[in-house]
Amino acid sequence: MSEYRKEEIADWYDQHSKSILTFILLMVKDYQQAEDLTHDTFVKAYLYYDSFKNHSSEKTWLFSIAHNLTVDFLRKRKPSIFFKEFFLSQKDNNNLLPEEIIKIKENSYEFYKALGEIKDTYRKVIVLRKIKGFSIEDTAKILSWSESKVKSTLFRAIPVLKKQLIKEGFLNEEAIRRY
Amino acid sequence: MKKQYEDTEFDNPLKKLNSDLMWNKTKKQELKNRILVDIENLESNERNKYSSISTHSKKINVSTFNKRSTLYKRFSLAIVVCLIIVSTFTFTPAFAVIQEVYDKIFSSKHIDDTGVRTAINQGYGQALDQTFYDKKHDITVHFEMVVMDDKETKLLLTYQSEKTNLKNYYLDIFEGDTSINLIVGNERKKLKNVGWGSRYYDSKENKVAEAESFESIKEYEGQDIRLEIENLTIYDDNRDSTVHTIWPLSFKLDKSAISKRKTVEINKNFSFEGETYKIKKVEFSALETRVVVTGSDTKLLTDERGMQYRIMSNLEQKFLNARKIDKKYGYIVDDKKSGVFLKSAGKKVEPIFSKGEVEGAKDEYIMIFAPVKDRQDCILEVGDDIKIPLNKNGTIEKQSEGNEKTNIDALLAENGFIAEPLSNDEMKEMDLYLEKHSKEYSIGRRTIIGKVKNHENSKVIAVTISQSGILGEIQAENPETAEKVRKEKGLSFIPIYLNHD
Repeated sequence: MSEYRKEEIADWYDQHSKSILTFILLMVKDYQQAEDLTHDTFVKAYLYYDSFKNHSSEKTWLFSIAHNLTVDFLRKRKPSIFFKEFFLSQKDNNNLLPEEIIKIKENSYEFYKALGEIKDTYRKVIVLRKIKGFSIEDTAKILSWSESKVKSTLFRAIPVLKKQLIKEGFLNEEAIRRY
Repeated sequence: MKKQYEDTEFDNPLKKLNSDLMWNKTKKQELKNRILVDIENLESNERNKYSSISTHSKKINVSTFNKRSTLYKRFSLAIVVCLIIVSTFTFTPAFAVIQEVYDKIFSSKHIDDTGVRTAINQGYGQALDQTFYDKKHDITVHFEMVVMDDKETKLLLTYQSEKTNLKNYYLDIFEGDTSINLIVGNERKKLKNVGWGSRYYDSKENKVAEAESFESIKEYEGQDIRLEIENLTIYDDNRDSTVHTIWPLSFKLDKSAISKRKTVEINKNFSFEGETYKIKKVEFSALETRVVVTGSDTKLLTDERGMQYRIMSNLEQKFLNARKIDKKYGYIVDDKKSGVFLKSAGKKVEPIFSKGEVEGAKDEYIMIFAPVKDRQDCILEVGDDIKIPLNKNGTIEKQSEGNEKTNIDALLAENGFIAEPLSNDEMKEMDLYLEKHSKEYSIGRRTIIGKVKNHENSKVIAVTISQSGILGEIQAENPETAEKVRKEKGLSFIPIYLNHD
């Protein structure tokens, strides 16, 4: 049984690890932390494998775990002085996204950067719905929100992202008006 | 089952960002190896109750307490109980004649609304039996029946085509491009959806059966009315599109279409997972049973921009825990999961999950179940432990109030902690802290359950316990820093939180 479980986790890793790592990366903006949290996601999935009852896809389940771990991480990071200092000191450090490990094509970099500047709640709903393509229902499951909250938050998040893109100089208002 | 989709101008570049993020293959393989090695280590230590996983720059303790032990015993009990569901609403020969009038599909499990199935089987509703041919799209529409109470209308129809593939065609008034308009005399109004409705596509016949669900039109009883279904929504894998059309239906609304609703005031309080709830009332109709609840975590919240929103209450999470999405049958009950059910006349009554997002009054949460057989004998079962008679007199049974506390105490003890209750002053500190940080940390999803006894010289800042039995510690690098951080938060103690998974 445990061998089967391990094999399944390995299969899930092959299928979903990139998606999960990039989701976490977009949330924490630090490759090393994203890798650690991806590690914890799959280990936790192994530990709690029996509680996965196929009521959602394994991808949704893995994302719920990844999301909870990420929220816990972000929550821990905020109140703790030494963590705060640690991150502040590295805010603009390019090592957080080592090019030899993660590459972003030039055209998408502006979106990556703008997403990194908007608040967590908006970022995660955009990442799950628009980047990862989860349905409203699965997004609600992953975030433990109501479906109406997913919709209303996304509705507000898109203009905020647009504003950020303009602020960063990636889009001009004239171009936006044409949409 | 309805699909969900919405467009924005950034859809394409955002999708592209996903494919443009490229991860080094060697790194991916290295991480896989690291995970598998850790899993193997866990396996070899599996007999130990305590396992520790160390991450890069900090330490996270992932502890298991008799993994899936007592908390999970409830699930195994649930399996036995849920098997009874099958016999809740059986088809009785007395209604066989009525049944023949409508397409049998509407009384089958393909329609994920037990209320519709029960109403048909019990002979409720007004037969329409009208056909409309949409020549432009070669779709033959058959309006079968209409049934309603004072909260919703169900319009049952089928549509079929020989030329147009209807697999991805939806009448989605929840969030698609479809709308239903009511025209009575000079009055014309767009009807609001109630839940998502139900849909089934029969690929052999290229035929769709839909139970459209929208606001009640009972006030037009005895009048000639016209309903117009405007536009169809096509969902495919990449985007949605609209089929512009109008499907009209005219009929005199007969009283046979309308069933009455009976409301019983309950006003009973109970607690569940650290939150307190009040069952305000229960409403019975031919289409459903509504249990209306308010609670300490059902309140409307307001964000920094003044927009009001809700978060999922513990009770709602429990209610949805038993929801399963089945490709063939839509939203169904997962017999293996614990949830919230009704029991009437000794039989379990299923929730109607397709009626999601039905809003109540401010601060109310509404759970909707199938109609019950005996309105006098109705019990709300929350998990396996709490049983609440839905009448004014019966007393609430809470069987294992102590179990969860025992489990939590055991888990804390395993990790060297003893919990004790907060004093009044500490409660005030906590209230201030929660008030200040609730938006920032989504604290609504956790409940404070006490504090760590003897916290002096501890480098722990907070302890969290998840309902699935994981204990986590937030630690500083030394006791002095921990105390400083606690002071910054305005807390003179180490809080213990119960996280709601």
